[in-house]
Amino acid sequence: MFVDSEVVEIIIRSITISGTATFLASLWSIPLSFLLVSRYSKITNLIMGFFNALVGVPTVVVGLFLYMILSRSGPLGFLGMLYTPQAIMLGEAILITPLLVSLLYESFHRTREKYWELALTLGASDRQALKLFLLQSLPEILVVLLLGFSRAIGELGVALLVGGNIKGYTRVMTTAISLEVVKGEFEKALLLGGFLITTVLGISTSIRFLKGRIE
Amino acid sequence: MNIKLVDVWYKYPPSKIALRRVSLEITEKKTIIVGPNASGKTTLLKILSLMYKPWKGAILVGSKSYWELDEKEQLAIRRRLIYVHEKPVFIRGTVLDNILLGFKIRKINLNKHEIIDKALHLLEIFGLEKTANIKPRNLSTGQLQLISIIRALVLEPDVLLLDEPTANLDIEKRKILLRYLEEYVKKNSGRKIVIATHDLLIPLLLEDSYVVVLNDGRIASRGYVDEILGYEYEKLFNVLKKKGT
Repeated sequence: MFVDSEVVEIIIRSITISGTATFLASLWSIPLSFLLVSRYSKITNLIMGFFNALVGVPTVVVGLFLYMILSRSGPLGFLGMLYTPQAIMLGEAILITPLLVSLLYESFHRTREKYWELALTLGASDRQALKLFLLQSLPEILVVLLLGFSRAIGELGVALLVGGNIKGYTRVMTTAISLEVVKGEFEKALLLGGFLITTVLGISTSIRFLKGRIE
Repeated sequence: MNIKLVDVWYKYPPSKIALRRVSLEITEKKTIIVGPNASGKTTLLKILSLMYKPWKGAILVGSKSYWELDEKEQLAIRRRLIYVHEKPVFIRGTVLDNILLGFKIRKINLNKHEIIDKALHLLEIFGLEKTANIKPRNLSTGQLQLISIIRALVLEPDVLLLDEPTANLDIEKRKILLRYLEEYVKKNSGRKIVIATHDLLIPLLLEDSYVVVLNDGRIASRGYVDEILGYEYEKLFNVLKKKGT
């Protein structure tokens, strides 16, 4: 059993795509969660109910939905994004958004009032209060993003449907494992599976270490 | 700095009314708000600290209606008073980092050594000098309560609003705190303290304190401690006794 350059390339591509997807999803999930917590109304419950229900949506359904939008005859077909790494990034970002919003909402709900109030009582403006709140919530935000990343890197449906598993271009760890199993190459599939688990565990451990340092 | 509440109502969403038609002016140096649990003490304190906007009614600071001012004017007023929560919150870092947080937030460019000396001096007064470089999570509830009060005192606010400041303190520490608060308001004629508590001994221990008795979100009685020691205070004692507080 050996690690060839293709496997290394697949691992790096998987981390890059899922990392970018997590970053993309965080760009809208963090502000949205904060907005939902700070502007609480009856609609908030409805919105959160919607996001909570979408947390467990099968990845293949998201993939199918995105495939229809990005395919040549779909509304965004003119972008030519189908079967590109960008399509996987977008799909994974959409896939993990409900998870991020649900978890960030819960976390912000617990911490917003206390840090916001603390900042205001010490004479902070709204902007300074927001800064203090975000800085203090950083460890929780990191953990939520890590969970989002784990879900993104471990999903198959989106990567297969909108990525197309193209060798050297859109092949990621999960699609490669699936292909190797079909080919009967269980040894390579197991090797990739091992790397997938190691990657997730490694990132998880390092972020937890970082969180401990920050705290 | 005079704060005046005019016919103030406060409602927690969706419909729980916590304060009803409260009119109160903080003119005395020491005002103590007493009342049983859920009588609206904390809500009133948060309204006085200008953190909560009333549902109905007005808050006048001097002659201006606070909630009609622009953000800059509101901030300038808000920085003259500090509210200390019953359950204090701390940021990551040491006790000293937490005490200096207010300076950091306000971006006050005072001599750093001067501020640290001031903070250490206050810690020493309360017997907490050894905690300066310790993380708050390693301290007791009573110590944390005192540290949050020190964090406010170090900024020398005109109005200091304390929510149950003695709830977790032993008799000795309570004595030190109340003595310090007496001195704090004496030092400068503009300073005032407002305390919300169900510890009925506080009004008796603080000289010439003005007592506001709250019950079910309404002001049931008010006056100097010896004036209301009669019927209303006794009635409150009985309510608290029944509730076991």
